[in-house]
Amino acid sequence: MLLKDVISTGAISTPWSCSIQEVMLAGDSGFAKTCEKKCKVQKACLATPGTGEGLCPYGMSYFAGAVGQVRVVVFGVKGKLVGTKISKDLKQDLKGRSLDDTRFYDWLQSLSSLDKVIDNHILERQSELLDPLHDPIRLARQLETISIRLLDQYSAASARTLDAQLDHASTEMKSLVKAAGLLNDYFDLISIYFNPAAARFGRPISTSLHGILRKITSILSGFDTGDDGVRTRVHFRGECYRNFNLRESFKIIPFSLVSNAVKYCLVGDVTVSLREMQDRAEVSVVSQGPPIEEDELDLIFEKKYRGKWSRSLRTGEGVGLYLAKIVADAHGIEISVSSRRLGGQKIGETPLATNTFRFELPYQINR
Amino acid sequence: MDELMAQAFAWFEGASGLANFFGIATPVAGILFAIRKKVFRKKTTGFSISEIAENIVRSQKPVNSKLVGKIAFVDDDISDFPITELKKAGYQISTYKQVSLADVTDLAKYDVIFLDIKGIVKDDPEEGGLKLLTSLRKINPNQKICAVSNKQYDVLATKFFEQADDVAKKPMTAHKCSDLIDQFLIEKFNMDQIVRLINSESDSLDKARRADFIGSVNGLVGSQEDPRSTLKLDSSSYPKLYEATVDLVRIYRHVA
Repeated sequence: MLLKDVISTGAISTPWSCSIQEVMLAGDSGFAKTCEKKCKVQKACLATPGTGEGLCPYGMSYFAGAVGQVRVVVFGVKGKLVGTKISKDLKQDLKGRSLDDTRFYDWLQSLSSLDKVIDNHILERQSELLDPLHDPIRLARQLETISIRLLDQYSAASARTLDAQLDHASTEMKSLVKAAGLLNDYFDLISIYFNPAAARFGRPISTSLHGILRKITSILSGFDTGDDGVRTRVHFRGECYRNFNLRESFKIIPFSLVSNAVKYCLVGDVTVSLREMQDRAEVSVVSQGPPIEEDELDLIFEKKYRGKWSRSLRTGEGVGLYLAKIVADAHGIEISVSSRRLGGQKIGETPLATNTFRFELPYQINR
Repeated sequence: MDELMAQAFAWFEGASGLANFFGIATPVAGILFAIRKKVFRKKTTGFSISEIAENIVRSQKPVNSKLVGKIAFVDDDISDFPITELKKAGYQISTYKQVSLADVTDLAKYDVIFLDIKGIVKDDPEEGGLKLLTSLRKINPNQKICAVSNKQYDVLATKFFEQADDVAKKPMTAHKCSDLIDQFLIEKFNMDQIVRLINSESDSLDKARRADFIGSVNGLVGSQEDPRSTLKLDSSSYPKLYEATVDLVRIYRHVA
């Protein structure tokens, strides 16, 4: 929300002293002397939860409310709770600072309107800026459809699955199919990045988890070279021929986890395992790379956050795992992470660890 | 017994005319009041909804959704859809490059509609798709709508995608398109669901309206009249019931 930034410019005046998302604003009448003297360091009224009028320890009223998720507190004013039996100094200090619920909530309402105008403006600009994406997305889909059709035409009849066809295809054909597939997956990532609600679009359809994992591992295996020029291979192990009711966005989860593992894999290959259990299937992605510290296990799923060791190793934006988490939340799936250091082994200055990302899919998901 | 009868006659003879009248009329009126529902019930002739459905299910001819279902594609770039393949496969397809918001009543008659968000409504090229979808939902809540657009990244288009039954990206392959249509038609022409919906929705009709409604349904299954103009039901007050009944009549005629 930009509201506090807009108000902080001073271009829009506030009638009373207030705090908007912890930014202090003196307002038209300036800070009350009592507030400046008694609460210069910390204001008691800001630490108190709740909404509506309250009385501070120094006998002044404050009014608290919210604009969206942001707390707004007007302080150093004279409300009905102040009463009439107050000291002369306080009376003098509160002169011209009367406020009641109606005026406070009217003002809060006008702030909400301003906030909405700002938000709408941002969304409209974002929509305009992203508009050029429309045609490339369409072309990428066309490219993928044609590449798969070509692969099919040039493959032997015995090669029925995509990965079997890719195994026997020429290097150029492999690159074409993989690049087209990756391009589409990246556009899906972009869509969810700019509009997280897109993770929930469409109805869940019966989907082969085994098929999705096979396709992703086929596309990502050996496709990209790391900074050291080594192509990381991705191995797929396990079987599960049940279908799950999943939304189209689901593939973002394994795609992000596997591409993240490929990107940070320092030794050996990446292994994707699929295991059938009593009432669910378990998917794990295991690789050896920079350790993820204990306090980072949750943070790595936050937008723009990058692990301490990963940051120094590769360039990146810190969005892949964040997007995996958005899609996982849309499906009610939990992704767990563990990072176990491999003794004292190091690659350069970076300690080595076995990193495992794991999630489970109940057979009854979305049914 | 004779003694009892003699006592009763003696009692009536001894009483005044007015007392005799009330003595006879009161119990008779009480009995009639108690059984009034059975005696005076307005008889609805013909089949009940469940009987019509039973006739459909019992019919030897299976429901061919491809022949019954009507599909519309509304997109400024129709080449993004495999129209020729779908027509060749036997689907009843109509295409529209651009429509007006006033056309919504006609579009609401389709069973399945593929709708783009931008550039399809001449009155409102920017947000016309969303407005159209909202109106279609209101007029025909049973219609299956697929939001087809690559603008899933656009926060302003979120409502459009959320209101649809499913979403798809363009261009669509024949395989994906026919899969979606088949699934939609299976759901829309599910007899159990249609009957359940009609029975539960018609419960809210008063006795006279219900009788008129059932009567007109019976008339429709026996004729070839347009169900939309003949069905005695206010479509704006009962859109779900209205559309489900139209579907029931169409399926009945198809298998008859």
